Parts: sequence; structure tokens; C-alpha cells
Amino acid sequence: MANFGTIGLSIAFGMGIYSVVAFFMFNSNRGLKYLLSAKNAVYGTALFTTLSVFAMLYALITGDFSIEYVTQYTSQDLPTIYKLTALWAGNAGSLLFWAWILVLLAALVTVSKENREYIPYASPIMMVVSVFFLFMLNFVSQPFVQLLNPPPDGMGMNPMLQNPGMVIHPVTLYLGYVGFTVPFAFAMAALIMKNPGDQWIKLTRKWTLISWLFLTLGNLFGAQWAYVELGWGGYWAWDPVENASLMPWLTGSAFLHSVMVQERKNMLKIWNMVLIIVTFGLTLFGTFLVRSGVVASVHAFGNSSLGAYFLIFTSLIILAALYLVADRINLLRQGNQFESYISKESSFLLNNLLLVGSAFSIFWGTVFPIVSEAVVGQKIAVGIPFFNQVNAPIGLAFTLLMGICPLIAWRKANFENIAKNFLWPWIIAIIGMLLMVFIGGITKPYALIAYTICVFVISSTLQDIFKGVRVRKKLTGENLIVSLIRLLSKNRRRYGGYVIHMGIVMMIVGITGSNVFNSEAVKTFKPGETAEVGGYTISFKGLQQTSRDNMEVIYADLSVIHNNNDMGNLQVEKVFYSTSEQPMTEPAIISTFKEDLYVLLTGWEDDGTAIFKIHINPQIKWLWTGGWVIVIGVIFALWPGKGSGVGSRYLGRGEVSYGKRVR
Amino acid sequence: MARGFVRKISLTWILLGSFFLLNISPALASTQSDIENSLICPACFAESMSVAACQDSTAQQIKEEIRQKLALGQTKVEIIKTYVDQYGEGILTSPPKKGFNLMAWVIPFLGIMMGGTLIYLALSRWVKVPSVNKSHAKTKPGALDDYYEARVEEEFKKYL
Amino acid sequence: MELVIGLVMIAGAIAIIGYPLIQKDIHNLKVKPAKNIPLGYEQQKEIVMSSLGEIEFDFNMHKLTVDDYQELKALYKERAVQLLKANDKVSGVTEKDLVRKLEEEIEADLKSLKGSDDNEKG
Repeated sequence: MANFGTIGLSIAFGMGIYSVVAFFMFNSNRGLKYLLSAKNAVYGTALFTTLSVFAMLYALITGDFSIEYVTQYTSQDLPTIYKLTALWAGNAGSLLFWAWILVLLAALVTVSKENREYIPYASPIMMVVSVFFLFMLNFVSQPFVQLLNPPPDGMGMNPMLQNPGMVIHPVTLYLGYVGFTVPFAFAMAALIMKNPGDQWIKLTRKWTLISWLFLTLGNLFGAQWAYVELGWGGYWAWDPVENASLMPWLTGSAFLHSVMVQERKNMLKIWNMVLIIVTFGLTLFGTFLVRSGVVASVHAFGNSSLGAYFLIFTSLIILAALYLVADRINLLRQGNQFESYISKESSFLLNNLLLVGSAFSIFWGTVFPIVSEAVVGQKIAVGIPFFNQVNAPIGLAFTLLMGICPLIAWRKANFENIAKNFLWPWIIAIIGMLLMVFIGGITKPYALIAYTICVFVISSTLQDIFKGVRVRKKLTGENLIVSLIRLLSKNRRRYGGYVIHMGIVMMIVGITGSNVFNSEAVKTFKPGETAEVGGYTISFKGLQQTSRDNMEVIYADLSVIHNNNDMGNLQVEKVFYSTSEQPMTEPAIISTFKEDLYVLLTGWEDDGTAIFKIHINPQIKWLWTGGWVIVIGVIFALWPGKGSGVGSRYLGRGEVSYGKRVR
Repeated sequence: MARGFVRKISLTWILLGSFFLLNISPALASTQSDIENSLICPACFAESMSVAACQDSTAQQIKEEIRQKLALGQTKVEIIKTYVDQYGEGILTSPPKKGFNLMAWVIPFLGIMMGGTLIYLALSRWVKVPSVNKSHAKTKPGALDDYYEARVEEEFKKYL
Repeated sequence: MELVIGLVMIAGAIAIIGYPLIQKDIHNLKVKPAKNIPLGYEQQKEIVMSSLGEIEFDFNMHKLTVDDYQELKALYKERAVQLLKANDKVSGVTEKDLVRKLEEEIEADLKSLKGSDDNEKG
């Protein structure tokens, strides 16, 4: 099996290089056969990488301990699902997984008919990135290294990774990371082809949006994993690795917004190019951070030479891309003009400023320890308080913009109209604020501001939809239901975006509530004792012991009553894995939209007395639910058929434009 | 409305808003967790894990110490200072706002302000109010203009 | 055994990329970029009409001022009229036909009006 995989990877590497060469031959007019051959080479690379991945999966499942990787990350008693996920538990395996997604995506893009004219340039760019990964797999971090004396059993998987969250989190995150290669490749192709219009944006829109969605989910699943597995009651620690996945999300979000200005007004072409280059660069930069060990991180894959390769490759490809932009800058110069300081166009600029500013502040905070060490020789930590304090105001400001921007017209807006459109949302927001103060008893300023802004965004979005229905009804004479359905389904891009905004608002509510109002207590229970914590009546029955698959479990059964409702039983565990000395603390959680009851078993005594740590984390469920709302919004916006695409509509005083045709 | 006036008003609002947001700090729920989040667990320097996040015995011990100190009436600043005196500034999870470390705090906002200025400058180059050209010549009037206009009024609704 | 599989894999790889190369070739063929494909009538119409729809929609949503609305509406309406006229010309509908058709319609309307008047009287 090991040889099989190794051969597969080296063939894939060779074919990858060949495809780039063959595409080049075709582009320098050597004939169509080179294009066909190059395309076949792309499919071949995907095929042989897939073979290697299957070889690895086979080795993992059957427990082929002659392969070092299998020995390092699995053991015989590991459940099958985690044997499979061991593919991305270690350095070499996760690179293999990444490369696999990348080459599959390259094949998918190459085979697609609608991309025909871009393929000779976009495919080789994707293949260059693939070749880099295949190079790493062949020469630097080989997954199929064999052991001379295979041990009878493996070392097992890190217990923290044995969690459903770790099955799905890396997959979604990698899909998000890798997906941004597509718009990047098309952007570069557009530059090489000297076709700087919005065609590349329209062609890659679905890829960009889906990648963005996966990045969103990847981050959320990661947060959820941290929440249910790490047992400190939080979900986001601003660790460099977490930051690495948040930064491309922020710049990617900025890109999704600013391309609308280009599609509509044929402006910001340079900026969009820069944004996609930066976003793509950040996805690679994240990998560099994770693999190099230059920054202290809980998640790091450990020190390895991989980081240097990533740094060099990332720098080279970014420099090449920026050079291309500089070289073609005349093609990218502005066409149209802004007609007013206040318009949807300029509100998108503000949105971009805040999103990119936030990404920049996170970048700065992440690299500051290195900067500080280089300049003053002191390695200082930059942690949660810094990022919270810097990003909270930025985050609130762009939440506010989410409520304002949809109500501003393209081209030119005036104050009277804005005032008219914002009157009710502000009234509702202020009523909401007063209710929160006098009935809800919320006095913390940050929470109050955040909630008020959220109420404002929700009410201004809903108002916009209601008004839209009314106007449509008036113009077409349809009845209320029909005009609501048609309004939404014929403008799916806009209203899908609104749904996504609502998801983000839910997440902001969750983040605010859980950060500002969380509380915790440590309680000691004798067996059979009942106590009240934060409104919950908790009875402790006693400690028990059991063994499962590859672990010994000490657990406590707690029954919980809240407001006279039986909330069921909680099983709080301390898990001793056969392969790890440190026990894992598995929290038990009762989750409602109001708050989470989060209980940890921290210790016990011989007489059966147990010590529990009890967190009450308000509104966390809003954060996860918001993520699902975003999924709905993206699917709604992308659902094929009429209404999901938007050609440029009215432009203004200038020429009536028919836009460019995109097949 | 005068353009200059509009600009001044919006700028003032943006400035006031950002100052306001900057001046209230997002304090966590309790002083206890505030302090726990401000200190690195001395046993976990390599991962720079905060006392709040860390699960090992050193962290548990420090959490207990903080609880006792708070019960004795010490303030957040005092407690954090004790630990800085003991372990050095390396124990802080965030750089102190002085000396070179001030850069950590200032640069992000400086960056955003510069970006804002850049956008403002770009806008003032891009914004051109085209002269209103009301008297643009109509194509020769035909007998059926009314008919066609009515047709347009009907047909565009199908595309709504 | 593994050697054989390895050789088969390499042979397969060479076959995949080599096959197009030994086929008859079309020389100097470039994939033409799809610049400036003229849009069909239906597409042009959709763009102008949906722009008009959006102008009307935005105005009714109080996002456009009256001045802007009137100006934009006139601009796009004119464009739409031109488009319809041009298409009618192409498809052979002459102005005379239209005028006659219109007159017939008006007549028919008048008649039915008269008829209903008569009915009411009767």
C-alpha cells in the first residue's frame, strides 16, 4: 500500500508539472493538442492523487503500522471514524488532504464548459499551487514513509481530536481555504488575458460564495469544537491559528461586497484584484503559521521545516500576482465615476475599510510578538483582551453598517430620503434599548450598544423587505403573498444577502451575550446532594465508572431542574484514554436560546464527593444558529435559475450599458 | 444641501462615534474572569495559554489565589501587578499600553484612519457631479410615441 | 507485484497525456475570447426593462429623489422605446399596420361601449 501511494504521488507531481508546461505550449500557439493533453494531465493529477488518498485511507483503516504516519496517529482500538479522520490529524496527512481537494477542484474547474476561455490560463495557475503541495508531499513531508520494524500497535490519536467536531471542522475549513484558489486563478487569468472586466467575477461568484460559506462554517465548527471539547467554557481564544482562519474570512467578506461595485459600475478593479490576492495569500499564510511554529499556539502542528517552504512559496506567488497587477494597471484604471459622497458605492468602501481594518488589526496582533522580539528583544504575548478590545468597536461599527447600507441607493442618496427610511428602525431600536434597560435590567454599556445595533439592523432589514413587498404589490397588482414570494425569489442575490446579514446579527447577539454576561461557580457535591446554581436546581446522584472503546470513563449523573421544568440528566465525564496520560474533561451542556448550562467535573474525593465547575453562558446557541441561517442565505442566493444572477442595472446619467455577456 | 456641509457632518459623526466606542472597554462579566484572561498560566508559556483557558494545576492554583485576593478587597490592577512583579511582563496576555508595546494598540486604529483618509481622498477625486443635461435632444417624435411608451410601461413590469 | 502495478500506473499516466498528442492536430487554434458578442434583442430588452423596473422600485422605496427618478426614467424609457421600435421594424410590423390596428381597437372599444349603453337603455 505504501509504495502504491508513493508512486501515485510522484506520478501526480509529474503530471502536474507537465500540465503547466503543456498549457504554456498551447498558449504559445503550438496547437490544440497541447490543450487537450494539458487538460488530461489535470484530470490525471486528480486521479493519481485520489489513488494515493485512498491508499492512505486503506492503510489507516486496516491499521497498516508499517507506515510511520499510521503508527503516529492511530491505534488498533481507535473507532473507525477517527481512523478515517486521522488523514488530517497530522502534518503530512493534512497536506495530502489539502492537495487532494485542490486537484479535485482544479479538475472540476477545467472540465466545466462555462469556463472555456479562461481555462488555458486559470487551470495552469491552479496547477502551480497544486504542484507546490505535491512537491511538499513528495520531497518534504512524505505521508508514506515506512518503518523498518513495524510496531504491533500505533501511538493513538490525541484524545482532543477524538470528537465529532474534529471530523467536520478541518474538512469545512480546508474546503474554504482551497476554494479561494479558484477566484484567485481566474483573476490572474483575466489579467494575463487582458480582460479586466467583471467576467471573472461573475464566473467565479459561486465558487467564492461557497468557499466563503465553508470558511464561515469551518470557523464555527472549530469554535464549537473548542467549546465542547477543551472545557474552559469559551469558544474563541484568538489563538494565532484561529486568527489565521478569521483573516481570510474578513477579507473574503470584503471582496464579496466590493465586487458588486465592479459589476455595477465597472470601478474598483484594482482594489478587487488586491483583495482576492490578499485573501488567497492569507489562506496560505494561515498554513504557514500553523506549520512553522513561529508563533506560540495551542493548535500548532509542531515545529517543522514546512513553514519556511510555505513562506517562500506564498511570498513568490503574491509578488508575482502583484507584479501582474502593476504591469496591467492601465487596463484596470477607473472607468466610471462616483456621483455622490453618499451612495451604496461609498458605503461599500466603508464596509471594506472596516473588514480589512479588522483583518489588519488581527494580523498585527498575531505578528506583534515577532515584531516585538525583533525590535526590543522582548517576546510579549498578545491575547484575548487585546483582540477583544480592538475588534469590538470595529465589529460593532460594521454591524451598524449592515443596517444602513441596504437602505442607501446606488449612485446617489440624499439626506431626506435616508432620514425617512431610517426613522422607524431607529425608533424601534431606541424603544428596544429602553425595554432592555428598564425591563431587562441590562446596564453594561457594551452589551446595550451591541443589542441596540442588532435591533436596528433587524428592523431596518425587515422594513426594507416589507416596503419592497408593498411597492411590488402596487406596481404589479399581485396579492400580498405572491408579491412577497416573487420579490424574494426574483432578487435572490439581494435577499439571500439579507438572510446572511440576519445570521451575522444572531452571531453578534451570541458573542455579546456569552462574553458580557457569562458567570461561573465551583461547587462541591456530596452524593445525593442538591444545590441551586444560577437558577438551576442540580442534584448529584453519584460517581460511576465504565469503559468504552479505547477509554476509561469516570462520570457523574446530575439531574437538572430549571423553573420547575425537568431539563433532563447531565452526564459529566472525566475520560482516561489508553494512549494519553492526561485525562480529558468532557463537559455536559444543556443548551437553550436563553443560556447554556455548562458543567465540568473537575475532581473528586474518596468518599464520593465531587467538585464541579459550572458555567452559565448566555445566548451561545444564537451563535451556532446564526451559522445555519447563513447556510440558508447562501443556498437561497445561489440556487440556480433566474434571479440568482444580477446583470448591471441602471447606471446613471451616462450611457445605458448592456453589460458584457457571460456565457 | 451644500456638499461641504454634508462632508463635515458625516466626518464629525464618524469621529465622535469611533471615540465613543473606543472609550468604553468591553469588560468581561466578572473581575475574576477579567483577571484570569489577562494572565498567562506560568506553566504554559510555550502555548501562551491564559489562566482562564488552562486546565492544569498551576492554573487552578492561580485561580484560587485570585479569588482569595479579590475577597480580601484587592483591585484588578493590584492583583495583576503582583503577578507582573513576580514573573515579569511576559505573564500578561496583552501588551501593556506603554513604551514600544503601545504600538500594538495604536497601529490598527492608525491603519484604519489612514485607510479612511485614503478613501476620502479617492472619493474626492472620483466624485464628479455631472452637469445636468436636461435639454438632451429627443429622437424625432413619431405618431406612435404614446403607444410605445404605454407598451414600455406595461412590459417592464414583467421583468420586475 | 508492486513493481508491476507501479509500471501499469506510469503507463496509464503516459497514455492519458500522450493520447491527444498523437491525434490529428488543429494547428494554431486559439480559444477566442468572447469579447463584444452583440447581445440579442431579448437580452437587451431584459437589461433595459429590468433597469426601468429597478428605477421604479427604488423610487417607490424612497431611495431615489424625484429629480433623479424623472431623469433616469426618461433616459431608460427612451431607450426602451427605441428598442421596441427597432424590433418591430425588423419583424416587419410597419407603423401603418400599427396605426390601423390601434384604430380598429379604438373602434371596437367604442362599439362595445355603445352596445353596453344600448343595453342599459333597453
